[in-house]
Order: sequence, then structure tokens, then C-alpha cells
Amino acid sequence: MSKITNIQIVRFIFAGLSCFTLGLFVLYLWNLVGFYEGADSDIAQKSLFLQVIREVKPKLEKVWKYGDIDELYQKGQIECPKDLGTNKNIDTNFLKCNSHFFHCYLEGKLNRPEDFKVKIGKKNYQVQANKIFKNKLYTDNRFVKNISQKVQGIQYPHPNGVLINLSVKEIPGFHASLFLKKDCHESLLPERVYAKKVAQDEWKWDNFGQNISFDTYPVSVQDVNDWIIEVRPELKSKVIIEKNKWGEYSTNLILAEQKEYCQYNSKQLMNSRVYAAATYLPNDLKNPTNLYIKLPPYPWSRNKKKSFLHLAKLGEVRNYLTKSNCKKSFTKECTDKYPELFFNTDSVSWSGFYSILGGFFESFDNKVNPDLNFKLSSKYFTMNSPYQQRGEIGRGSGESHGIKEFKWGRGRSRRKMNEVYANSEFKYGVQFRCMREIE
Amino acid sequence: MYARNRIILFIVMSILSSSVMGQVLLKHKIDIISAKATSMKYVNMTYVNSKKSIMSPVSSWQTILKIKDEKHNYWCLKYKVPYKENKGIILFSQMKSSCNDTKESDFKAEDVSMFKVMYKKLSLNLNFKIDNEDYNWKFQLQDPKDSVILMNINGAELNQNKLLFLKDRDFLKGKIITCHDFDSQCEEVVKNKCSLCRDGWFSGALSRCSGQKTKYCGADRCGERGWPACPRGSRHTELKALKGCQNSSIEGFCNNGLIVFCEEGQLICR
Repeated sequence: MSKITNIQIVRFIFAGLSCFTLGLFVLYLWNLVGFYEGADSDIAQKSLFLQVIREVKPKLEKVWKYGDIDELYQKGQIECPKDLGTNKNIDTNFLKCNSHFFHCYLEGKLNRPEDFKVKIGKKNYQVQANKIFKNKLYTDNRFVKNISQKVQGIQYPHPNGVLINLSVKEIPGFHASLFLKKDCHESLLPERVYAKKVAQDEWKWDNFGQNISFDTYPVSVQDVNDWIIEVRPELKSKVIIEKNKWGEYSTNLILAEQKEYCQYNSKQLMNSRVYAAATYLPNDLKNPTNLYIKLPPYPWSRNKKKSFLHLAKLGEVRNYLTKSNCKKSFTKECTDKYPELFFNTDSVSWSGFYSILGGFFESFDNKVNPDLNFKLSSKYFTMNSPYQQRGEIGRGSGESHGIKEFKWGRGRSRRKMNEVYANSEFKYGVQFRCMREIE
Repeated sequence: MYARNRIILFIVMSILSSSVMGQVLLKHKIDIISAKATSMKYVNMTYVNSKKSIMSPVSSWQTILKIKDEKHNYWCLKYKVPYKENKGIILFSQMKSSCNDTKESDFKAEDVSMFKVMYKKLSLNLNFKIDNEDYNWKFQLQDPKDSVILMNINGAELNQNKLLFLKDRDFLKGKIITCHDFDSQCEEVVKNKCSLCRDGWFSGALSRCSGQKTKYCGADRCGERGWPACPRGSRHTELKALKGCQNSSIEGFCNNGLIVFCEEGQLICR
């Protein structure tokens, strides 16, 4: 038996230490790979989740932007009683960028299950909306949350819109919030020289270098209801509970409240010069700097002599009392014969401004003469009234909608209106819309 | 699936282990996914979506793409075209005003060859080689016209800024927030932050720099006594004498009974 030398002992210890170090190193590498595998898996899952969300996004966008694409609402085929009324006088334009309608969609009431299925490679994924948002109007949680940049206090991609929350059944652990811009009923005022009538003069201005975006329709009852419930509970008495009226225009806010509503959406109350500019047909569309401007009285034609409103002044009103004329301008005679339509597309100007003549009074902010602050053309005047045309404006105190708060014309015609309504509790309806500048 | 994961793992590992540049790249890859492009400009169409890699003009710096995001930053993709042993360089940087600014690059890749840029449906693909290794980076941009915008994943907020709070009476105390302004040399003296105004914003009358009006946060009270005059534009009349900042300038107007005055470079109603 050979004797173990010191050198052999040292070698043995060294070999042992080497094995131990190598073992530690292998273990370290194993952990390292394990760590990266974890990171890899997380990144891959997140990337897959994002891909699924991106696939489903255009389908949601289509319904958000175009609303009732399968035309179910007018046929009464959507059962969503908590969110939608059944009013055939409300055009489906109302359902575009509509948070209540979209809630119905996410609830599956539009019967479009394919919108939520995504196929990537050979695998199918099921996207689901999460009912996580609270709303003071409803006892149960909602799929949709109304967002106002002003209320939330942080910047969103648009000053107002809704949030939804999505997850994917096959990829647990991830959820995404999507913001849906509420911009379906906005249009840009083309850059050009405009004019409006101030007293008997033409007052010119231009918006070169200014992007002015205006609401194409007046604000709806539903939007005002949502605003009151969410942020202005003091105005609770002005909430209209009847769902069939939610798609009508809001007419019961006073001037200061209308301005406040617009600010809630980071907008301003429509101003009179933009209102005027958006509602007449320029005589020279190709030349935006043309300083020769004619102001035709009706938004849909340059030739006033062909318009039924002009012809009604010259002849018998009953000859012009047709359904299609009442769609264009809902005057006093129309109220007995046809239903009033909302969000319809019949009365439109060249710039995409709807609901111009007839219907309710409409208020605006007048920067030249602040007292002249509402349009007169409405269902409160007959078809042959001189007020049934563009540019006819009246003075409103803005305090309430009682008859004494509104003035127009000169003595005689005003007296005539007072005789009709003076002894009643009658209140005028005053619709409004907002506008904003965009960068 | 396993093989693909291996490749991703390799890329992640090489980025994390190779250099700081890699980490910057990874970070910005995620940032750019959330960037909201407001405009996308091909500086030279021949470079984008071409089957061939960019080979000429040799040794020159080429700006390939300009992307403007919602915060008015420019994302500029530049490439130094390789020549012989001088390999190419990719720079992808966020610039404040234009792609000509000089700034340390957010993403820089050196020794690059075979560089191709593919852009389709807001998906930007950069393909290149470094040391014969293939790299493919995808950036997903967002169309400003999109109505539906991805805000966050698992609650991690993206790009959300606090709004500027301003009460109406603050203007009278001289505290109006100017949210965008230029000087007469068209230098941006207040960077645009109007989208952060809680109550919206409005333009003043004056155009110190052609086509650019001074903008203020808050409810539009232009035309009232002591407030900025309302914008009337400068092309509605051929009169040149009364334009710019001067009393009775035709570029602004006030409520009836008030007059436009030029005060400290602004048109104010008195």
C-alpha cells in the first residue's frame, strides 16, 4: 500500500473544490436560463395578448363608429331595455359613439359573437369584455365608463370618450384598457373667409391657421343625463328618465349650464360666427380667399327662390306642408302632422352641420353682440314666418326658458307671440351644441 | 413554439448581455408601441418597402422616416449608408422640433449592413445585419384617426399627463396660462401643451408668427373687457395697414363697445 503524499492530498482537495465550483456555476447557469425563460414566456404571452387585442380592435371600432351596422334598432330587434328606448323618430346616427349602445353590444345584444373571436395560426382566442366600471345610474357594474378629461384630471387621446376593459380567455393574467374617442359627431370648419350679418352689414372674418371643430348635431338628452348623474347631481330635476327620449336633443338647460356642459367635454358653447359660417353655402367653394360673399338664407341652396320656405311666404303654406319639407325644417304646422325627427340627415349644410332650421331654438355664444344669442328659426313660428331662415337671431336672458326671457324682432311680431303663450306656463325648448379648436 | 421561444430568449439574452444600447432599444421598443403618431413622412420613398437593402449614396447620412407623435416630438430614423469596410449606422432618436436637431441617439446600432425598412399598416419593420446576425425589429404605431386606442395593459398607464388647472378669474389676476406661443422670429417660446388644459383652450387674435396664434387655457372669454381679442384672421380684408399688434388691429375683435389695444405683444379688449 502506497503512502498518500501531501501533494496528492492537495490535488484531491483542489479537485473537490473544482467540482464544487463547477457545480455552483452549472447551478447558476441553470438559474440564469430559468430566469430568462420566465422573462421570455412573459414577453411572448404579452406579445400574443397584444396581437389578439389588435386583431379585435378594428371590429370594435367599426361598431363604435358606425353604430347599428346591422340595422337592428329601427326594426326593434335589440333587446337592451336598461340602455335603449324604442323611438322610431330617432335616427340611428344617435347610436354612433354612444356609450349605452356600446354597452349593449358588449353585452352581446347585437348578436355579433364573431367580433370577439380571433384566430392566430391554428389557435382560436376568445376576447371578453369585463364588467368592472361603476355608474351612479345603474346598480350593477358596467362594461363602459364615460371619460371626461376634465373630470378625470389626466390627459386622454381625446377630451371625451369611454373606457372599456378586455381580456382573452386563453391568455389569463392580462387585461387591457381601451379608450374609445367620442368624435363621431364632430366636423372641421374648412379654412376660408366667411361672413355673417351684423345689423345690416356683412362682417367678414377668416379661420386660416385655426382648426375649428364643431358638433354636427345638438347635444342629446342622454349625454346631458349622463353628465348630470356623474358630475352635477344638483340638476337632478333636469334628468329625463324616459328612455325613448334619450335620443332627442336636450332643451332644458339654461345658458350657463349649457356652457358648463361643453366645458365638461373640454369644449366651448358654439359661437355665432362659426354657426353662421357652417350653415351657408359659399358662392365660390374653390376659392377660399374670395372676399365677395353672398349669404343665402337657406343652407341647402344658393338660390332662395327655389326653396319651399321662400315659396311658402309667397303662396299657401299647406301646399308645402309635406313630410320631406318638415324633415328639412320642422315648423309650427309640422307639429300637428308629422313626428319631429332627431339625428336625421335631411337638414344639412355644406360643412356637415345638421338640424339647422326649424325644431327648437338653439343658443350660442355671440362674441360681437353677446345679447343676441339664439337662433329663431324653429317650430314656434309658422313656415311663412320671416324668421324661418338663417341668420335670424334673438335676445335671450339665459336665465330661464319662460316666454318673457326671449325677445326678437320689432314690437309687433313679438306681441303676437306673447298673445299666444302669455297666460300659460309655456317654456321654450333651447337646444345647444359645442365646438372646440384642435391643434 | 419551443424553438421560437429559444430565438426570443437568444435575442433577449444578447440584448441584456451585450450593451447598454440593447437595453435602450428594448425600452424604446415598448415605448413606441404606445406612441401615437400624428404624422408619418417618408423622407425618401425609395428607401421604404424596397426589396433591396439601402446601398447608396455610400457613406452619406440619410433620413429615412419622420414620425411626429401626439406630444409634438419627432421620431427620426437615420441611416449612414455603408461603404466597403465602413459599416452602416442606424440612429433612431426622439427630437424636439425637427430631424436636423443634434442629439445623442436614443437607439444607435453600429456595424450594420443589409438595412431594409418595411412599413405597412402602421407596422414599422427594420431588418438589418450586425456581424452576419439577422435582426428584425417591429414597432407598432398608432393611427391618430383610430377611434379605439389601447391605453394600458394590466393597469400600467401609458402617456398620461396631469392637466393644467385654471379658474376663470385667474386671468384677471394675470395668471392666465398661455399654452402655446411663438415670438416674432417664429421661435416657439411656449411649447404646445394645450391638450393638457382641463377646460379646453382658445386662440387669441394675434399671429406673431405666420399662421400660429397664441393659445390660452380655459373657457373662451375672448372679446370681453380685459381679455384677449377674438381671432378674426388676417385674410378677410386687403387692408394691410391695421394688421399685427397695434391698436384697432383688424386681426382681432371685441364685444360691441370695446376696442382692440396692443398690450405687451397681445391684442386685448378695453
